[in-house]
Amino acid sequence: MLFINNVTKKYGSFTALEEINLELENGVYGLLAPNGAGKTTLLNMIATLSFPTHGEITWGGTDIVALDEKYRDILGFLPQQFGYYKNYTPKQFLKYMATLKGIEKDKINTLIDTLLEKVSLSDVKDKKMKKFSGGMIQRVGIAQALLNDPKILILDEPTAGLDPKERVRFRNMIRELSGERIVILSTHIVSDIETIADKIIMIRNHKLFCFDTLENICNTLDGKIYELPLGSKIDEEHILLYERQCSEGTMQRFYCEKNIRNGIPVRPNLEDVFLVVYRDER
Amino acid sequence: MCCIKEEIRKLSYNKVLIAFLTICLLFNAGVILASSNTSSELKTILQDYQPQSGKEIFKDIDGSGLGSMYYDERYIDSHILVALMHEKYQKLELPIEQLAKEQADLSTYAGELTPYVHRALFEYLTKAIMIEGILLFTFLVLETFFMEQHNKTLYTVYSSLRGRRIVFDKMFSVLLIGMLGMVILSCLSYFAFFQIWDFEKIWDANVASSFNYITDSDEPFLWKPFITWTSFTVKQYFCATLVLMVGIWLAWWLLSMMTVLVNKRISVAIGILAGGLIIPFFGLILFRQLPELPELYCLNTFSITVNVYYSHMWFTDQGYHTILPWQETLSVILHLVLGLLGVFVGYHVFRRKDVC
Repeated sequence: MLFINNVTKKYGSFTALEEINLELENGVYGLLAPNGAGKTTLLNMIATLSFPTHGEITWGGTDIVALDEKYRDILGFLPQQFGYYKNYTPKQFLKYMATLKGIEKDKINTLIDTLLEKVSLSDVKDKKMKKFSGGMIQRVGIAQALLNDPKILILDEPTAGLDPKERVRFRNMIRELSGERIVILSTHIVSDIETIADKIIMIRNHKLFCFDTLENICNTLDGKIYELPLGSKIDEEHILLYERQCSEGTMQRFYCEKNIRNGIPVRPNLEDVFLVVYRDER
Repeated sequence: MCCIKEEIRKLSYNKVLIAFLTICLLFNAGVILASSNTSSELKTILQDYQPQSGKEIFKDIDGSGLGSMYYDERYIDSHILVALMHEKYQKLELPIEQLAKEQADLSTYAGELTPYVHRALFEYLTKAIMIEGILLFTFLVLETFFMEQHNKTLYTVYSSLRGRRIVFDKMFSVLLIGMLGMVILSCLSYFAFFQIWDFEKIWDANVASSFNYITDSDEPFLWKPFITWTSFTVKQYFCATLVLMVGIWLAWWLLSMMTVLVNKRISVAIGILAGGLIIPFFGLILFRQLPELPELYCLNTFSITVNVYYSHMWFTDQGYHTILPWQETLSVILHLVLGLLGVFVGYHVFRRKDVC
C-alpha cells in the first residue's frame, strides 16, 4: 500500500502542495485538478524525482526514499513532458530504458516486441523517433512505463496528443492493466478518468479537496445542476457551466444552490463537479 | 557496464564532438607548421651533432642566489611569500649539485636551437593539446549530464531502477570517450610533429642542458637556466609531461562532474567552470598586487590554469609561479584528491536533490 502522509512541498516561499494525505491500494486513481494545481508536483514526489519538504511517502510501511532502488523497481512513470532521444528508434529507446530498469538481457527483445505490439508501433519500431507524431511518441512513453510490469504506474497527462480513437484504446489498456497494481492517472480531461477511475483525487488551492469514488463526488452536487433552453431568464445566483446541443436545441447547464424555477434537474457528472469546484480558479 | 555502453552510444551521436576534434587537429597542424622553418634548421644542425658541447654552468650557480631576485622585497611585499620562496630556492641547491655532477649542462640537446625546439614541443603543441583535453572533458561532462534536461528524458531516466546512480555511468562514459578522443588527437598531432622535427638524436639529451633556458618575461630578469628538480632526459621529461597532462585531464573531469552534480543549470555550470579556468589567469597579475592576502596568491599558484600556463617549465623552480618544489605534481595530486572528494560529496547532494 502506498501512503502519502502529511506531504507538503515548498519551493522557497511558494507552497506547491500542502498537507496531502492519501492511502492508495490496487486500483485506478484519477488525479483531477486544473493546470498549476500541483498534480505534477505530487506525481514527481511519488516518482522520487523530488522530495517532500514535510511529511513522507511510504510503500509497505517504509519511506520510499529509504527503499531507493527497491521502490523504483516497482515503478512505472510516464511524465507529462515525455522526452526521448531524437536519433533513437522506439526499439533502441525501449532497450535503453529496459537496461536502466534492470531487465534481464535475454528477456528484453521479446518484451519490447510485445509492448510495441500493444501500443501499435510494431511497424515503425526501427524508424527514428524524430519523425514520429505526438501520439506515436506518447505511445512509446506508455510502452516504456510498462517495461518492468510496475506495481505502481504513474501516468501524468497520458492522453495529451492522442486522437479520440487512441484515447479510447488507451483507456481500455489502462482498464486491462488495473488488476494487481496502483494506477495513478493525472489529467484535466474529465472524460479520461470518468469511465476508468475507481477513485478520484481532487486538489484545490494546493490542498487535497476530496478523495472519493466518482459516485460520491457527483452526489455532492445532487439537486444543484439544472438545464434550461438557451434564452431562458436566469438569476444572478445561477452559475453557467456550459452549453450543449441536443434534439431540443441548445441547452444551458447551470449550477445553483437553490431550486431553479422551470429548470430541469439533471444528474451531475464529473465535468459539472470540476467546473463548480474550480470555478474561481484561472 | 551495459549502462556505460548506452551512455557512450548516446554521446557518440553528437556531431559537435567530431567537429571539435577536427578543429583541434587542424589547429595543431597550424601550430606544427608555424614552427616548421626552425625544424629544417635543426635537421642541418643535427647532421654535425657533437655530444656534450654545452657549457659548464651549474658549478657556479647557487639556488639561494638564483632565488634572491624572486624574494627580493622590492618585488614581494609579503613575509609569508618571501619565506616560502627562500625555502624553495634553498631546496634547489641539491638538484643543482646533482645536475652538475651528472654534467647535465654539457648535454647538447638541440644546440643553439634548443629553446625553439623545447618551446615548439612543450610550450606550443603540448600546451595546446592540454587545453584541448580540458575543453573536451568540459564539453563531454556538460553534454552527457544536461542531455537529459535538454531532451526532457530526466523524468524517465531518474525514476528508473538505475535512478540517480546513472551519473556514474555518465562519468565513466565521458572518461572513456574523452580519453579515446585525446589519445587519437595526441597521437595524430605528435606523429605529425615528429615527422617534421627529428628527435632521434635528441631523446637521450638532458633537458637541463646549458642551451635550454627559461624566459621569465614578467620577472626582474629575462632568462635563467632550466634547472629541474631531478635529472631528466628529453624522453623522460616528455613522458613525465604526458603523465601529468593526463592527471590534469582526470582532475578536470572530476571537478567538472562535481560542478554539474551540485547545480541544476547548465549556464551556472558553464559559469563556474569557465570562472575556474579564467579567474586564476587574472589572479597571476592581480593577486601579486595584494601582498596583505598572500594566501590568495599561494592558492592561485595551485590552480590548474597556472599549471597549464607554465607547463613548459614543469619540474623546474618556476620562479614566482610556484611556492613549493614539484608544485605542479603536488597540485595535480591535490586536484585529483579534491575532485574525488567533490564527486563523492556532490553525488550525496545530488541523491537528495530535486531533479525537476
